Amino acid sequence: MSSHSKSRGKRNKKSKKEKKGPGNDSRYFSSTKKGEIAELKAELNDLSEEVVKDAVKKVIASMTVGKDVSALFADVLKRMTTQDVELKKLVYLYILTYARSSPKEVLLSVNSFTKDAQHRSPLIRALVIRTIGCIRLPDIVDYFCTPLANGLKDPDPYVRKTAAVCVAKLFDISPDSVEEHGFLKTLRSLISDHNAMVVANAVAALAEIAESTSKDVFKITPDMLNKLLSAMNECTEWGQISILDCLAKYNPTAKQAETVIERVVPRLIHANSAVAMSAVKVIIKYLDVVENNSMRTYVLREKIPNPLITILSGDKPELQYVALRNISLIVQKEKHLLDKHIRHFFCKYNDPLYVKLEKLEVMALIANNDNYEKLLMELRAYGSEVDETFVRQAIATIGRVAVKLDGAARKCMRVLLDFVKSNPGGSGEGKDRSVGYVAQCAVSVMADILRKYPNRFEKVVDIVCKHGIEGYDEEKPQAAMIWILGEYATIVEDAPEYLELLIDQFDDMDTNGRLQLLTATVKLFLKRPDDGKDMVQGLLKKASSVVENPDLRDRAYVYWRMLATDAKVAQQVILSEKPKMADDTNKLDPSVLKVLVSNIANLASVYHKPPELFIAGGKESFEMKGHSRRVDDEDEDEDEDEDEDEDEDDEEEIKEQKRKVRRSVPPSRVKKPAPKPAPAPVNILDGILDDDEGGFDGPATTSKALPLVLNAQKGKGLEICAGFSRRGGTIFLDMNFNNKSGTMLDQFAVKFNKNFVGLQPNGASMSVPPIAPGGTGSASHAMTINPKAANPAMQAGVIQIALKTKLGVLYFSANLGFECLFAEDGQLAQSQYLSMWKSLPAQEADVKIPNISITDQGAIKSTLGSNNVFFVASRGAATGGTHLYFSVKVNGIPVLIELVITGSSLTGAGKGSDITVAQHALNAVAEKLR
Amino acid sequence: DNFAAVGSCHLGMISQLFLLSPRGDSIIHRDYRSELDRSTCEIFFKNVKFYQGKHQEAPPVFNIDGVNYMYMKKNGIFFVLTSISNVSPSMAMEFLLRVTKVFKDYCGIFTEESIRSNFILLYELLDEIMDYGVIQGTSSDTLKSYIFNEPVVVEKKKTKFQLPKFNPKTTSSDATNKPISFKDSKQGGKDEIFVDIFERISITFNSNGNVLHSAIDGTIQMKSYLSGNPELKLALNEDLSIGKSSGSTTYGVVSIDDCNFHECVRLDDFDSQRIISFHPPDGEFVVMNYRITSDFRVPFRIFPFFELSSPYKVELIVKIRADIPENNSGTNIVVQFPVPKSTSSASSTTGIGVTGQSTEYDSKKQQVLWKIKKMAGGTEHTLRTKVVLTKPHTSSVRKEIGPVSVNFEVPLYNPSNLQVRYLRIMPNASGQGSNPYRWVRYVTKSQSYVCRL
Repeated sequence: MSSHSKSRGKRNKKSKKEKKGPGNDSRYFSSTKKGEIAELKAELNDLSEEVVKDAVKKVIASMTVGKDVSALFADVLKRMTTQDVELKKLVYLYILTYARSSPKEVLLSVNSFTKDAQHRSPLIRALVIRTIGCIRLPDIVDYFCTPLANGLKDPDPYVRKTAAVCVAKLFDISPDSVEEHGFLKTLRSLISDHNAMVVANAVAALAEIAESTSKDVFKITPDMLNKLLSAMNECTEWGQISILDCLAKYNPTAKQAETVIERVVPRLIHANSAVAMSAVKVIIKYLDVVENNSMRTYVLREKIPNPLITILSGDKPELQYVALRNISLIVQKEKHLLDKHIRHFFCKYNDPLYVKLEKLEVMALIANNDNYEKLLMELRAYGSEVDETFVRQAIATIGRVAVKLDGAARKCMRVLLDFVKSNPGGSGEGKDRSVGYVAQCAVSVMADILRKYPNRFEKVVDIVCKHGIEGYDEEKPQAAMIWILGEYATIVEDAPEYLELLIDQFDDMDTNGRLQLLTATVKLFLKRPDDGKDMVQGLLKKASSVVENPDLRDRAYVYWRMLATDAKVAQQVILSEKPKMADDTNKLDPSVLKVLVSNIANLASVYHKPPELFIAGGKESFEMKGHSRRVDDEDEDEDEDEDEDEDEDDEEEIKEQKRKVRRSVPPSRVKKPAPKPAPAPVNILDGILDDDEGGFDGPATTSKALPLVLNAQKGKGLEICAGFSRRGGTIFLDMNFNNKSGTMLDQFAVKFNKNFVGLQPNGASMSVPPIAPGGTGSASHAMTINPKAANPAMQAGVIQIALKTKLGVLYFSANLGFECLFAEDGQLAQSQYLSMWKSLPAQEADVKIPNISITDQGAIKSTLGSNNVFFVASRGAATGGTHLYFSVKVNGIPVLIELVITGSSLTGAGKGSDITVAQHALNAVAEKLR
Repeated sequence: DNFAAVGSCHLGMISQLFLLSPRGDSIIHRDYRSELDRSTCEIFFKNVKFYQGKHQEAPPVFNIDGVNYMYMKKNGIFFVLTSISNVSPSMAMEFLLRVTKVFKDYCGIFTEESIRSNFILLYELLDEIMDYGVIQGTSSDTLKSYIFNEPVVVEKKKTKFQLPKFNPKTTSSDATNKPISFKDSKQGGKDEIFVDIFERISITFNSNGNVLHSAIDGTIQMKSYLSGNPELKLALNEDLSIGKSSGSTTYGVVSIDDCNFHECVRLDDFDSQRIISFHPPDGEFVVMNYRITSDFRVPFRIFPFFELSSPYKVELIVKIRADIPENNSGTNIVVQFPVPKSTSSASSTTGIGVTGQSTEYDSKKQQVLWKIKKMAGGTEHTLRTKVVLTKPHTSSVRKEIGPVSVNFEVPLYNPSNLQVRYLRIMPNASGQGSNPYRWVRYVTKSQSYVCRL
């Protein structure tokens, strides 16, 4: 009783205090004074739950602004036992925030969690599950599984949906526990739950887990396909996006595709544009396998265009931007999808610039012979807009349309000419004389069109020049103007006078302008020798002597010598036909386009980059977690010239599945079929062993084909193939370079990340002869092994390498075959072998290969012998097979190997003081006999 | 057996959500997956504030060092999502829009102050809206059953341009600034529902005043304060036609190019009777979006006249005519156009004895502004602007003036003629039909309304 009255007293006090403050949450932000922690502590221990609530709020407020309130942790935690749901929620809110930064301390409260997991309120039950899931510690797992298992079966859907997401959280901490408890199966069954949110979360969690493991946790069978389709109707909009994204990864039959498209088409009119976009992705992909052509045409013509345009019509520029970036991909695949709708892409005057520029891009892409006149009228109007970037891009778009459409070129030229005419330069001197940027831009675009259609627009050229050739002081237009004068020297009557005027400005020009001027003057001389003679002499002299710029000087010398020796040759060289300007509206490589189209509605479609180019963290963090590699990652690491005939009968089925998966993997990354699936860690090394086949026959085999480890796109222009080999007791890193950048490359330095054996380069700087742009080069760099620097946690067989070049630091990884580690002094005597076999622990590594290619005993011995696998003894067995005993030495540790060969099948056993090493060694040995 | 594993299903895994003030202070920061640290706020703000790419402002989606940033600006506040996976950016943007809506539903208005005042409530909301980077639900209606904190209502500051009260019969638009009711509305909350038909008009005229292209982007938006979540039937024009290619329209028939609907909407009777039925969730939501490009009655016509009076003087006369019914009127009309770069001064005059109009020359932006407070249907106004140039004009001076853009609002009118025939509130299971207030508003606004010269 007395406590009751006491609490009332406090409450009065509190309400008085409240009056002083502004009366809302912002008062919690008021600055922390020294005594405040103590004050909060007192309040947290107050008997009135209202006071406590207020105090917890203040604590949370302090946390969010980054103040240290860890001293209050125990006091807040004590309050977990409250029966007041609101206070409990607040405490959990605090713990949730706290768990993210200091999970260990939160672990103290697990007992209360277990209690609350039985709370009568579903809100609290769910809160417990959500909160435990945020404590990212392996220790939590034991406390986690029971509430989670109960949560997945909870009668309340709110708890079930929270539990569904938590399975993904748990999988991240401890994939084994998820498996042990059969949570994946439960999750799959939740796809048929009758609550929309549960379905949505089950799909999202499964997809998340599927992404982080190579195991088939979320196999889409025809049955699952139907489940997903019916779940889609019941699901929340966000769940629909998850389901559609899953469908987009499936490779349907023609019939399935039709059914799915029919079910997905209604999603196109969803007010949530993300649902519509994901639906577009599924439909575009599935249409590829649909055999019913009329359905294809109908869907493309009647169903897809309007929803896409509707996204553009809203007043949300952010959504429009994303949609436009997607549309510019889609119309490169489905070329006629939107060409009748071009007016919907006309810019609104209040569109943000980023939207306007994307609209211009789409317009250029969908311009055709039927719509270009409308488009051109619009683009002409943009010429008088205020924003300079926009106007420039609009003018450039006119050029792109002209280059793309032969029939449109004349009209485009006329519009550009109008721009030139209506933006004359001033009559003053110097800066005042410069013409408007619209005209400058128009002239440089004109030059592009003239390059595409030589000798077609001579009249226009004449008019442009008559209009004035001075005043083009921007770099590109000036160069364009000079180029026009040289190229059309015979048509432009006053070309000599014009060039003379420009030569007067020679000293003020940049290098590019000067080079152009030099070439144009030489052209003039070749075409009109009488008019150009004096001029060319003067300019060549000036350029070769006065100027200290080597590029300019060299070109002047070359011209001079050419003209002096043989004018005819000079004519042939200088006036030769140039490559034509190419249409750039379909510039994406078909294989890249395919990847990007399969990424419609994902970020890749906004950046127009394949996902692996911008998803940096994903793979590494993934490997750090120690999961086996994802299916599609394998492709990147594999050798290009590997044989396909390694198929194994018993693995056919898995292979078949993988091939199907591969179809959904970007083709640019698929270099060849996978040699073997890698579901178990045993097989991880398979590909690596093959990579180095034939790398043992003596020194300097750098010309051999090495696996591609870095493509030119990722390597900033440098393509690198690399692998390891062992020669004369030393491991070498062999590298082949293909320089596709524009830079001369020399001075390479190499550095390794910590790896599973402690392999380190012998000194960082590599001796590589300079590689010119377009050239190739190779290098072999010696390695040492420092077992102390080894990090056993790193993936076996993979070495992460950083290479410093003039292009910057490049990162890649190369495979280190385990046989590179077999030492030359690995031979054991029979007696040694026997006693060692007995003394080693009983645990044996094993391997089984049903079909080896080398069965002759002599051949086996010599093949293995050349790889430092030493023959010890052999004996025949009662079963008819042969037992062969070998020894190898890895990092000074002997590994004993027994191979049993029966017909063409091989079973092997291995022993060593380190069982993992023994297993890797055994695999490597067996692989040699494949 | 057609098996396929979902190899890399790049789903929507959001890493963080944060709100930054216009000065870059973090107001709200929720980390959902502990993959990234707090430095993302600063990196984001730096890139947006000191953006140096080809656009004037950072595009809504960008990637820095492998982190994807997706953002939206609302009332000066940055709403930012980060992710390290290949998520759906449309989803991210739709999600941000919903978050702003939920916040608005709960706080009434959306300002830095109201966020700070309600931030524990907002954290509570954020934990319900998203879990481990997976979107849980963004319906204010569903959320209210999990939310315990009460909102603190912050008074809306009076802004300079306040919407005139359209009609004494309708409540003012401030009525929708109250938060939705959270506990079941037993505390005597008003039983009412607001239906807004918004049409945003885009028209491009040529210099003769002819329409080059025109479009209506329409939205039917609702805000429901109904108790008991009854079923509603909303009937539109019976002769509404959808998806017919524009051009061949019958007079009087409302012809929509395309439309889409909120997920709560059932369309069983839509094809036959143009009736949509749904249980409205609490809070503001878009029932339907539609798009029209067929001909419609142009609400305002603009006629520019250009005169070169002397080498250093140019005159532009702009006439605007309200082509709306006489009992309607346009409000807050702003006509603006740029003048040539060489302008030294620009002076404008409106008609003699005209009130409620003002003109202004912004010499920094080199723009003339003409504001008209109110304009009744059928009336017209003229502006005469004299521009004095620092150097004699050339033939191209005409291209440097314009385009003339117009902003306006017309309450109680929509040019598409799309109408709500009726909004029926179906009696609930207990059989008692309530008769709540139904506020149906039509509002037309300009979107991109331009006359080229």
